[in-house]
Amino acid sequence: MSPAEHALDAGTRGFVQGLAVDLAAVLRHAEPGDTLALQSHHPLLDPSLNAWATLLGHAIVEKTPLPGGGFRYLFRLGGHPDVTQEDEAPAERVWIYTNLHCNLACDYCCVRSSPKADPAMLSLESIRRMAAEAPELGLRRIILTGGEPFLRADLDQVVAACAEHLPTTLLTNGMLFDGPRRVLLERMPRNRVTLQVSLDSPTAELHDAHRGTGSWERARAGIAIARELGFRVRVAATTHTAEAANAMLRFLEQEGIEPHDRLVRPVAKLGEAEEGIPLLRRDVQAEVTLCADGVYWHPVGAVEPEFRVRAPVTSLADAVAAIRALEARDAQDGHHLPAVFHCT
Amino acid sequence: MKGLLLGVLDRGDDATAVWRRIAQHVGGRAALSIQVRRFPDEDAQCEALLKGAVDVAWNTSVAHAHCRNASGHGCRALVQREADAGLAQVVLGLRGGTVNDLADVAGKTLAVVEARQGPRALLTFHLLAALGLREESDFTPLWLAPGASPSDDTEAADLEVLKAMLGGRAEAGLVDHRFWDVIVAGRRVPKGAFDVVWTTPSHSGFTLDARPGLDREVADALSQAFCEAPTDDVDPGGGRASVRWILSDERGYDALCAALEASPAPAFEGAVA
Repeated sequence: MSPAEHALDAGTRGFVQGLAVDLAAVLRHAEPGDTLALQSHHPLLDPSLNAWATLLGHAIVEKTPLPGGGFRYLFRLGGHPDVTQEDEAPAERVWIYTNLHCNLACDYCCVRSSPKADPAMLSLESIRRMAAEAPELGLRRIILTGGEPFLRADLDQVVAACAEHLPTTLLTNGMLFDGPRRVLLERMPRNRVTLQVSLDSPTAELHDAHRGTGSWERARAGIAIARELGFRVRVAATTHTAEAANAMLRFLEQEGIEPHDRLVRPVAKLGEAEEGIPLLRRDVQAEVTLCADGVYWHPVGAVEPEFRVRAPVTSLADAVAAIRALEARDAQDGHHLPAVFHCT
Repeated sequence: MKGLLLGVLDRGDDATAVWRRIAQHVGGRAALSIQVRRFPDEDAQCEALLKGAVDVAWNTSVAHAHCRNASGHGCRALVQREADAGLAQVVLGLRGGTVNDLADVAGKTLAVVEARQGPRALLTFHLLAALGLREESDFTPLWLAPGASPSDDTEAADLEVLKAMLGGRAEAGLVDHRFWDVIVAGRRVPKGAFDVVWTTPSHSGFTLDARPGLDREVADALSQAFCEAPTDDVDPGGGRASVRWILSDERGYDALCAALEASPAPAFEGAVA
């Protein structure tokens, strides 16, 4: 268990029994960035503790079972250390397609993922090697996506390998947080990993129409599980109309999702999508994207030949160099300034 | 066409332009020529209304109570925004803490949003004073400034009050009762962490006040014009919201009028215009 600067043994006390007063007494003498270890034998503390941490901006870094029952929660006070995405430039991110198969077959999927798709998995060893290179190349974030990454049995190791070197965002549909996959999730480090869960609409109808019956309910449940486990959770919606986008923004606000954790973007007319914004490679700013079959210009076009920059690499430096070379060539051609297309 | 002078607090040229537009719109409906006069603070505006230097004034609830008391009910509330009816604030304490009823606020720190240093906190402070709890001498206000404008009234601002209490900076806090209902229903606070130790009497907010002796027909025509105007055209906030106007209910100010009479504190001390 990690040591902590402040400790509180709450016994069986919950908020109804005055735990907020005990915590306030600790916080009165704490500084942002300090750690707090809270031991609790309260059987139903997680939802309230999560609300407390979310409201005050504290991050639950660890949750460890105690001998004889109960849990030890480790908080980093003063906020999740990984709230930097607003400041990041596209060139400072590296995308890794962990796999391309998915439990869903969304009708607008830009990379044609589905249960029948080729898994196209990048090996753990390859991911580990390239993640280790990332900081020295000036990259500030690793983003893991798919397909559905939780279809990988070694996802906890993949995430740990990335989070060891840089803040890591994991994109998921949030539907697979049960059984052994929940164990994968519980093993991931809260203080370096942000989950980005897809939820397309305020009600099930629209979301399910594109992603499959029952997917909205399960995604919502997944968001709740991830938050209860202490993860910072971003919610990303892909919408077809401005009206739907506005409705979703209002919904996310009502749901208490922090502004920096809301992402609403339009459908790109790529992959399976028959409508949406048509995109060419030169329309979007480059974001280094690694797939099993090569290096791509941007994650939104990761199965489009036009977006493919080069064959698979063994070094992240080679991938970055290939992207930068193509950027330079575009600039020489006098191409217009491309726009950022937000996938995170 | 009869002329009418409307007093408003000077919140800058943009805000005044909005009032001039409302005056033109409503004046056209009521066959009145309404001119807008700006005042630097509530004291000056109330004095002008009481002396009849303006015919009507856009008053905070505290200003209305002051004018009503000073004029022996001569100043009448004509119309108000529907959203300004049925307001209330709640004083919160932490469950298991040292503030379990209103009397416990004595000697403690009460977190209040600075934006409320306008009508709402001021109103509540008058109500508290009438109950024997005076700012500074009996409790210490912790003014929180979440970057909101003086007239802002957002959920984010009230959240700062809860954070101050959970963070150990205040034993009690003052928030809007509607915010409190929403935040509890949304499970955005730890269940059972807070107790409502006191709720202010229900009251109204801003109102359009008439000077003593204003012709009843003129007042009625003006009130009718406000209530019948298209909602987007009569928003003092500049058309950001659809505003429905209703006839003011004087009973909504009774508690505050009584508190002001009982409290020796100046009506507008510390008020932000």
